[in-house]
Amino acid sequence: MPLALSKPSNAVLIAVLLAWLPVAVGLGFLAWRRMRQGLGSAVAAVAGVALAAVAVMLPYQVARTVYLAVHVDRPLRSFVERAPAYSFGTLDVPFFDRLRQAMPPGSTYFVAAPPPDLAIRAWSFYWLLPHIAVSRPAGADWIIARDVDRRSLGVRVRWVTHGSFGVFAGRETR
Amino acid sequence: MIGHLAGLLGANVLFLGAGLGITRLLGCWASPGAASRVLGLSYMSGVACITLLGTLALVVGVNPTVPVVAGACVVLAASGLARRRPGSLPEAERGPGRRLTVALQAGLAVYLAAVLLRSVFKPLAEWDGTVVWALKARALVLLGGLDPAFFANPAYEFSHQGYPLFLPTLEAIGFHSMGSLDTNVLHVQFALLFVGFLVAAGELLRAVVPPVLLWSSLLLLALAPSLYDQLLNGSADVPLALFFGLAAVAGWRYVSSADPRFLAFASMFAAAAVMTKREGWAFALALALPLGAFALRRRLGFAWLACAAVPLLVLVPWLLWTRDHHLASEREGVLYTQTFHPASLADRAGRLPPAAEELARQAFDPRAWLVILPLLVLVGAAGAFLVPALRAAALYAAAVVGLIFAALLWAYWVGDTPTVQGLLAGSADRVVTTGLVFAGLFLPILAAGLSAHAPGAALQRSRTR
Repeated sequence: MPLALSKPSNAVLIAVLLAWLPVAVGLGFLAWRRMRQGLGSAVAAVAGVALAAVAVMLPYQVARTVYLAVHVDRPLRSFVERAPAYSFGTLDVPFFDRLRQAMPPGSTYFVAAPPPDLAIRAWSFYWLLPHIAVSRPAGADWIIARDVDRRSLGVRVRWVTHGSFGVFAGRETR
Repeated sequence: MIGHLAGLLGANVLFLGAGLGITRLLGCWASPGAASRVLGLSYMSGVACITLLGTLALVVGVNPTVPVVAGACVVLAASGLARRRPGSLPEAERGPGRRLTVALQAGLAVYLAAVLLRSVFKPLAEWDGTVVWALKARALVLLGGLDPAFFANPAYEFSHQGYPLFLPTLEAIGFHSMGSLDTNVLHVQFALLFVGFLVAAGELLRAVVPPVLLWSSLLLLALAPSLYDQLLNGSADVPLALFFGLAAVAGWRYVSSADPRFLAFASMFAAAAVMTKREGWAFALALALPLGAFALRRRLGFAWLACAAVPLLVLVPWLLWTRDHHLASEREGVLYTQTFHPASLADRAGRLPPAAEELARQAFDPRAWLVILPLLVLVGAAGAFLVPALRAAALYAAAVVGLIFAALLWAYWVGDTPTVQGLLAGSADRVVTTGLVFAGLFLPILAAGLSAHAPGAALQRSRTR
């Protein structure tokens, strides 16, 4: 991997910054000296300060953009549309793929999970569209459950599949 | 991916075409050469108008598919022909440091190229970008429009159902044009908005700001780490800030020049800001109040009311839709006024000091916003005390920034979380974006005001004319 794309150590970063700061300040000062005749001293000072900040930030931000693209975005990119599920936390992503395949068009579902477990709710809502979630288990065609007493749902469910991290899905039997 | 990218770029070419029609109708260009000098304003106008029309169409049951969007773009592009004698925007005044200006523009181009490149590959992985915004855009596409089974369904309450639909509509137009729900390539739309914003800001400011000051200030704003970090996370804070920033600067250009074309831009961009996020209406008020005060003081009549009326007009259909469909959570109402009870507010007064402290800390944090706000405060204060002609501009900037922060404090005051600290931790860094983008755009206006009164400046201008 090219040197420019691997993460530099903190010591290298600090050394580069210390070496570059005087250059940036010098550039700002030079700009102020050259522009004060035309713009006036005060506004040339504003432009000089802005230029010094730009001189520091421009190489940093361009390098950071390349770094993020290579080290952060590229690995996540292999997940394509499923990237949010991997970033949300403990979710069995292939389980939701299987579930989406299994649900007939137009079927509804209910997500039973304790309130802090937003990840399972968010990913179900996002990934299972155009299937629509409902806010009560009664009447839902499917139930997706995690970390709840499944007998407490108040509906009869035939559990048909389960995945990692304790997630179950089943069809309501009426 | 190439096909998706081509589709999204095609939609943006249509936005630009529509915007060129709008800017010609407003009398901003007559020849291709003059059109090239308002490309940024045209693009942002096209995005704003077409997406606003898309949100209105959704409310009346029309889905913004490719034929619908293309048709609207063609109509808007053709509308420019209605103008018989178009003029042009005021031209730039040449200033010192031409080579430095070119270097700054080249630096900005390199940076924007890097951002655009990253936007093509970046996957969507952030919480808000996914479950608040892209979720709704997916629903608009997969359910064929504004389906109450989703948009008024209490099960989806946590996706902030009361928020207006500008961003989901823009994303849905992107999905339709790609023929896919490709959330990687969708980031290009955010990057293009950023590029369009910077070019448009340059076009709005170049007649009143020397080029070297203009481009150093714009580059300073563009490089702000917080703006960069939020730009490609798929949330609405940056689009809101970009449209509001353009509206506020166009508003100032209106009151300082009495040119009604700037009022048209201010109204259009303020409408886009209002429809982008719930706090947009409060920010629009923070713009309309100083704008009205200055317009009346300068005897410009009541035309400034357009800046409040146009955003309200585009917001009302959405408010009616949410009311008709009894949106699940009252606290998600667009105007967040439901908790306005004096006794309750008094009980919550303890939320204000930590909120004010955190907002100020975020706004002045150099790791997030570099030196933008300290410079604005310094230049504004110096201008207000030393240069009488600058007092109005300094007052306008102070009023807009002050009212924006007052609106944010109000939101934290009436916020529905048990403690304000949790709310601040998850949002304070994002909500200051609009105020800081405005500050970054207004900094060169104030600084240029200082230069106009410098002894050397008059001499330099006489030489360059």
